[in-house]
Parts: sequence; structure tokens; C-alpha cells
Amino acid sequence: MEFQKDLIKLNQAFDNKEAAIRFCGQMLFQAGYVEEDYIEAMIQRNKELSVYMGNFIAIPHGTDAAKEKVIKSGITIVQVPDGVNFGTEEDPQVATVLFGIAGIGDEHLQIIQKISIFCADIDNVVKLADAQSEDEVVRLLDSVE
Amino acid sequence: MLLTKREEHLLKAFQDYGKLSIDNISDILKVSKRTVYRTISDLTTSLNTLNISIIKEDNRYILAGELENLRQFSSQVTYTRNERLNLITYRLLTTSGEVTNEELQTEFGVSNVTIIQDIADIEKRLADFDLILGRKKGYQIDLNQDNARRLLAILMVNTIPVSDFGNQDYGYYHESYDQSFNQASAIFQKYQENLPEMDAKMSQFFIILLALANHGVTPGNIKLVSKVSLDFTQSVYAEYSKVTGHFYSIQEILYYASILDELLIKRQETPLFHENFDSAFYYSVSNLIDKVALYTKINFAKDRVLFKFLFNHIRLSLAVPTLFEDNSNAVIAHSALQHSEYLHRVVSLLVMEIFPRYLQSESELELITLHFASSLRRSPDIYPIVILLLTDERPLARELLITRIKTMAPFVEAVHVKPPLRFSQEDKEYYDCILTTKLLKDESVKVVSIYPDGKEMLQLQDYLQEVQSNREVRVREQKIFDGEYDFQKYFLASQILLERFSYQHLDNLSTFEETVPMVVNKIDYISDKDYLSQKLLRRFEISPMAIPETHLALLHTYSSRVTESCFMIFDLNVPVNAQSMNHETESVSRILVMLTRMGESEEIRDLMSAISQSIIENHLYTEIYKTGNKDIIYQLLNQIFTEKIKKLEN
Repeated sequence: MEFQKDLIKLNQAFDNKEAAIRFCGQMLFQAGYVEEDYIEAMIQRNKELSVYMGNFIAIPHGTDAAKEKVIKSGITIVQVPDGVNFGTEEDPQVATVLFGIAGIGDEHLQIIQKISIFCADIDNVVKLADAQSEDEVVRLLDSVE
Repeated sequence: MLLTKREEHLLKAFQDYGKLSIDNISDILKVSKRTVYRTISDLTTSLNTLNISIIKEDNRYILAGELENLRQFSSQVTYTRNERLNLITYRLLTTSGEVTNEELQTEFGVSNVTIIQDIADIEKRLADFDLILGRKKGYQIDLNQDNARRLLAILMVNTIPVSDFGNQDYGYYHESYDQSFNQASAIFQKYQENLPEMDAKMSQFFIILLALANHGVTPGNIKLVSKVSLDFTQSVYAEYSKVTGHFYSIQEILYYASILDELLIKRQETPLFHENFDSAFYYSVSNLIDKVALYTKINFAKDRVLFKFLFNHIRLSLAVPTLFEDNSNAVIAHSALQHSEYLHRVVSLLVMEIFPRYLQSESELELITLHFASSLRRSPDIYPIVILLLTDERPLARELLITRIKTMAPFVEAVHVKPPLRFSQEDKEYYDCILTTKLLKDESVKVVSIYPDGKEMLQLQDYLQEVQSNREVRVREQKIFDGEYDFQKYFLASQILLERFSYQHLDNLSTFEETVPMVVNKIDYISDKDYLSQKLLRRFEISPMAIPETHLALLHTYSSRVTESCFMIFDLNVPVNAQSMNHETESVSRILVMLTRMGESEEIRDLMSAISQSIIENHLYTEIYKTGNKDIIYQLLNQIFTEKIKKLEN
């Protein structure tokens, strides 16, 4: 899996999860990975089943139906130092790193699986959240096979 | 018409082969001739209802009569009570809705009352695992309960024999799980070398648990897992998701890693170098030995092998407890215990006090007693022969065999065990006699069953006596099994540790958390004192190491911030409260500190392990650590090192 430096954004802040997901979608759209409709599908997907994955990460992605809106597989990584709540007020689920995903066919699942395995080690999440440059993020993720 | 399993087996043999002699049947059913006659008579009675009989022609038996009636006869398998309990539990653990009494009656061909009794037993057993059985219109286990998946894995290990599992014969589960068991086995085994050694049954459990990934809800709330466990789990799941095409969440991965931690990684015999060490379990085992010794007045603590066997046995039984006892298996342990009633009573009471409820089945208690009983019988004698036993059987089974060999042949000095795969020609030179539990090509190797009957034992006795009288006198250079030791190095290492040993009084503050940094501050061999204090406190929180009822606490770590390995003692002016190994509050007035430098030599590490073991395992030594002054403890350390080095020499 290739990580594009221009799809990595450090030190972002969002008012709520919807804004965060929209931001990820917008990045994918502007870089030509998805059609614009995919962004709404990402919001929709999170309503059906939360894209919060545990260990302070979220993986926003579109619904299965929106797969046809994917032009090519891509991934955007957004660092949110103050966190953004993907849960509720009573039961907060704070994500500090977001992985916005567009995947063709099975690639979709494979990418999510790889990120989940990498981030099962909380130390890796901390490193991603503390990374000071886009290069550092790429280097960390390249260590995943 | 209801047939017993044996009758059904015989009927099928008639249908497959036509004519059968008594010998044929005896071979097929694997029973004695007498039983063959009885089975023929039983089957005759059963078949009479279909107007079929069994007649004899030229010493062979055939079916005769209205054979077409057999076609209507649909096979009704009958289950033993044990099989039924397991299968009903399996149904409940894999059905999200309710299962009614009627359904179970039909499935198992038994009455309403029988099912009610079965369910009552199952409910009671489930409660041992904190699982609740619901009853409304039918019976139901709420599969959202955390332990449901784990219990299903235990059940499957209980009902698939290890050897069958290895041969990919999954019995009852074969249709639903063939593929996932095979996939999980291959991937687990590929990475297994990264884990500490484990029994085949334990690995079967972890393979099945992997195959059950995503089954039901994922138990949540897992905080800390060890690096070893997480690395392993990450590799395994990365590959497993590729072959299954399913997605496994972070929680799934952490859940699996946490079970690995709990059952295997945290339960290691040498505590010193493991970060998340299960001190409570370790203490329970040594406490069991101590207490049994106390009540029987036999010093079991002297037998180092006993601790090792019990540790491994109980660790396995806690991981994969027997859910429902099969009475037919209990006989072996039972008969071996005939002369140890008092011992059995003491052991049973103590196990019930120390270990969780789900471990306490009658056969389990007997097996644990058997470990103590065989400890009593381990003693070398005067006309020694040395035997090599080639086997892959479980330690308990082979220990039982070895015990039996030594009992009937007191001249056996030692029985060494090796897996058959590691058997080499050299062994023939070294050993007086080689036995194997598995048929080998080499004919000079004597085959012996793992549970030999009386007749076979007599034969074996003759055989060994012959070996003894014909034995060549072999000059055995003391063969050192675990590689070469340089004793000079060990000697130097022990001198270094004794030089660094110190004993000081500490004018400490009133809490443990304040006292630890003060202790650290007094030690010269640390490069970053703040860091190390924090680390020691954090470790202590995970694996508390105050030693119950001794006023002692042990601080130990293995760290890059330690510049020289050392062992030291601090007497506190004010006692402080700390968590003990069995998670109670212990008032601590003396702190033992063991620091090991990262990258330390093997000799020093070995000696440090010896100290740590002496502190928590040996009652007598603990007493000395508790009360001894500087000179006495110095002498003790000297003695421990000497013992350790002597042991290596042998």
C-alpha cells in the first residue's frame, strides 16, 4: 500500500465527527480518488456502524453501495491532537488519528485490516499521533508489511 | 429400535462384510471374545423386532430373515451421558435462540426427565464459569456473555482428542469447522516458535480460539497486553485475515492476545525476566506444595521436579479444564491412589481452597494428588540401568508410566524422555535400554503402551531384568544435556554478585510509593533513578511481589538503566503496606531488590534466577530472608550459588 505525503495532514482540529469524516472525504475527492458522492456515503456508513475502531483511531470509509464511486484505492491520514469524539457524550470514543479510506473491491477490507493490526499496539498509535512530519508518518506505516 | 453404539457398529460390519467370524468381530469391535458373544446376543434381541436373526454357518455369522426391513431402520445413534452433556452444551453455545426440551429429546433419543437432569448438571457447570443459563420457553445461553466463546473453545478441546486434532479429524465438528480449523492450525503453527513452549492440548486450545475469531460478541475492555503476545497475535491475524477474507477488529486482536497472556505468557516457571508475571498463580502452586508438606509432614518442597510438573499440569488444567467428567477415564488415577487416601484428602481440600471452582473436578483432584504420590516414589537405586523413553505423550501420562516402571523395577536409576523425532544412534550407545510409546522402524527399540496393562507390565519387567543382567558396563562421561557450562565463569559471577550484595537500613517515609524511590536512590548501579523507580512501581502494580505472611517485598527488574546487576536488602524503619502475590495487603518491613542489567551474561542471569526462585519457592530460605542479618544472608547466597553450580555439573 502506497502512502501519499500530500494525503497526510498533521495537527487538525474538528468540532464533531461529521466534520472530521467530511474532511477526510474531501481530501480523497480533491486528490481524485473518489467521486464527490462518496463523501455522503462515508457519513452514512458511520451512522450505520461506527467507524471508531478502538485504541484512539477511526477509519472513515464509504458504504458498500458507494464502492462504484471509488476511482482508485487511496488512503488519507489525519492527525487530530485534541481528538474528536466518535461516541456520545456519555460514552466518549475519542479518535486522535483518522484513516480515510477509498478501496476498490477487496482492497478496502485489506487496508482496514492492516491498519487495525498495526494499531492494535497502542504504542504505534501514540507514535502516529506524535509524529512531527508527514515523512515520519509514512515511515511508520511503511513498517507494516 | 434403539441400538447401543457397539451393536450399531456390529450391524454395520455385517452389512459391509456379510459373513463374520468371532475373531473378525473381536478385531472390528476391539473387544474380547466374551463381549463379542454378548453383543451378538444383544443385537439378536434388538433385530428380532424387525424379524431378522443372526445365524451361524461354518463358524461364521450372517444376518438372515427380512433384511429389507433394515432399510427402514434409520440409524439412531445413542450417546453416552458424557457425550450428551457436551453436545447439549455445544448446541446451547452455538444457538442464538432458545433450544426446547422437545428438540433435545428428539436429537438425543432420551426422555424429558433425562434432559431435565442433563440441563441441571450443565447449568451448574456453566455457573463455575460465570455463565448464566436462561429458561423461558426453552433453554438459552446469552451469547453476549464474555466467557461464552472461551467456553466453546474449551468444550471443543475437551471433545476432540489431541491425536485426532493433529490428524485433522475433527469428529462431530467436522462439517462446520474443517476449513477454519485447518487454516488456523497452519497459521498458528507457523508462528508458534515465537511463543514459550506449550503442551499440544494448549496449542489446540489456541488454534480453536483463533478459528472462533469473530464468534459472538468480542469481549471488550482489554487494557494491557504484553509485547510478546501482541507481536504474535498481530502476525497471526494479518495472515489469518488473508486466508479467511474476514475482518478482525482491534478488539478481536487484543482479546486473543490477552488470553495468550493470561494462560501462557504470564505463567512461566522462571519469573525474573517476564514483565507481566502472574505472581498469584506462581504463589498458588508453591503454596499448595508448602501446605501439603505442612499437613503430611513430608518435605515435598525438596523435590524440584514436583513444582515443575504441578506448575505445568495446573497451568494446562486452568486453560482447558475438563467440563464434564467421563467416569470411564477416571479409573487409572483412581487405582493408583488406593494407598494414598490421606494424601488425597489433604490435597483435595487445599486445591479447593487455593484454586478456582472450575478446576475442582474429582478426576482433576486425583491427578494432582498423583503428582504428589509420584514425587514420593521418585528415588534412584543400586543396580542402576538408565532408560531412554521415546514419547510425545503428556508429561503426566509419561510420568505415570515412568513411575510404574520404577516401581516394578527398582533398579532403574533414571528414565530420560525424548520425543521420538530426536532419537539418534548415539542414544543407543548411551542408554542401557530404549523404550518407545510409538512404533518405530528400529527394531531394537522396545514398544510399550503409555498405559500398559498388568500383563504388559510383567512382560516389561522380564525384559528390563534381562537388560539388566546382560547389560554392558558403560562408561558414561557425565553427559551434560543443556550444552556446555564454563564453571569458572559461574564461579566468577557468583563472586561478583556477593561483592555487590549489601544490607542497609532505610529511614523511609510511610507509603510504599514513597519508599521505593528512596530505595532506588541508595543504589549506585542505576543510570536513571526516576525512570527506574517509576518502572519498579508500575511493575509491582501489575505483578505484586510482597511475599504473603513474611513482611518481605521483592523489587526486581531487567532494564537498560541498570548499569550493574545486583542483589540488595533494605530494612525499613517504618513498615509500609504493599500488595502481596495473592493480592492481599502485606505489611512490609524489608525490601529485597534484584536488578539485572540489559544484556547481562548468561552466568549472572542464571544466578539471579536462582536467587529469585529461592526467595519465593523455598519455605526455609524465605524464613532466612525474613529474619537473617547480613552475614547469614551472605552465607545463604553463597550456598544457593554453590547448589546451582553443583546442579549444573551433574
